[in-house]
Amino acid sequence: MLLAQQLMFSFFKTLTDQVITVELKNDLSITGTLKSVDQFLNIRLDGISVEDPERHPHMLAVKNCFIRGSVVRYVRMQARNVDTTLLEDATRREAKEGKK
Amino acid sequence: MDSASPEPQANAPLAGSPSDFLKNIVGKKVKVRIGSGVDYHGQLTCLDGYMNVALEDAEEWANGRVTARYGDCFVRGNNGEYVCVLEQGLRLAFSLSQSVIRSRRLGWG
Amino acid sequence: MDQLANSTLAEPLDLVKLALGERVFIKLRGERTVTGILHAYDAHMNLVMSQAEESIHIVDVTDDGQALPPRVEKREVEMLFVRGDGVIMIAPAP
Repeated sequence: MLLAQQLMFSFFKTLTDQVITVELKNDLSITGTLKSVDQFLNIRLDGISVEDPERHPHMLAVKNCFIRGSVVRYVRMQARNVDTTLLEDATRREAKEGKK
Repeated sequence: MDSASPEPQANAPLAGSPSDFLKNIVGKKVKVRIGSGVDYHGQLTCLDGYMNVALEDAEEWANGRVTARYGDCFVRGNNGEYVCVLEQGLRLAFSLSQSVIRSRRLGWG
Repeated sequence: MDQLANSTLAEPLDLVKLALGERVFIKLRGERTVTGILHAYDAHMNLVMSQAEESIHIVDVTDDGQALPPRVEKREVEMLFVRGDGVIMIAPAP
C-alpha cells in the first residue's frame, strides 16, 4: 500500500526547485518554487505570488507557504520539466507492483 | 438478501453477501449512480474492492436523458451510491452507502 | 504474466493503464472536465496529463433566481497534475 503512493511522491521530488502553480479547491492559485513535498503530497512553496491578488489580498504579504495535499485540485507545471516516457514506464511498473 | 434459505437458480444474485452479488453481476448491464445524481448505464466489465467500476458501451444519463456515450469508461469508486442490474427484469439494488460509511470510518473517504 | 488478451480486464484500473500515452477525457467534481494525454496515474486516481484542456461548465443565476443558459470556460495547460479525490470518471477520448 505504501508503494502505491510512491509514484506521485517521486514525481514531485523531481520537480523540486522548479516553478509550479498550485490550484486549490477554493480556486486560489499560488505560483512559487517547489521547495519540498512529502508522502501526502503536502507542498512547500517559496517566493510565492497569487493569480488574483485583488480577490485574495491577505496573500500579498506571504512569501512562502505550506499547502496541505488534500486541498489541492491541480498542479500546473512546464512540460519541459517532465520526462513523460520515464513517467509512463514508472506508472506501468507501479501498476504491476500493486497487483502482487 | 436472505442467504439462510436455499435460493432458486434464477435468483442467484440474491444469495449470499454483497460481494457475492457484485461477483455475480459482472458482464450484466448495470446502472451506477454517482453522488451528484448522474447515472452511468453499461455492461459491467469488472470492479474492485474500492467499488471502482469499468463499464463497456456506457451511457451517461442526467435529467432523464443520455448526455454522453463512451465505448469504455472507468468510474471512481468513492463517488458511487449504488449499482443495480438492468438486465433480465431483475430489479436488485445493492446500496453502496454502507460501504461508503465503512470506508469513511477506515479513513479512505 | 501475460494477460489472455488486451480486452480482458482483470480490474477497473487496467482500463486506465491501457490509456497511458493516449488522450483521455475525465470528469471532475465541480462541473469540470479535462482532456489530455495521460502519462501517470496511481490507485488514488491522481493523474498527470499533458496538452490538457480544462472546461468548467458554469450555470449563472440571475438576481431573481433564473438560471441562464450554461456557458463553458476553457483553459489550456501544457502539463497538469490532477488530485485523485476530485476524479469521477475516466474514458478514452472520442
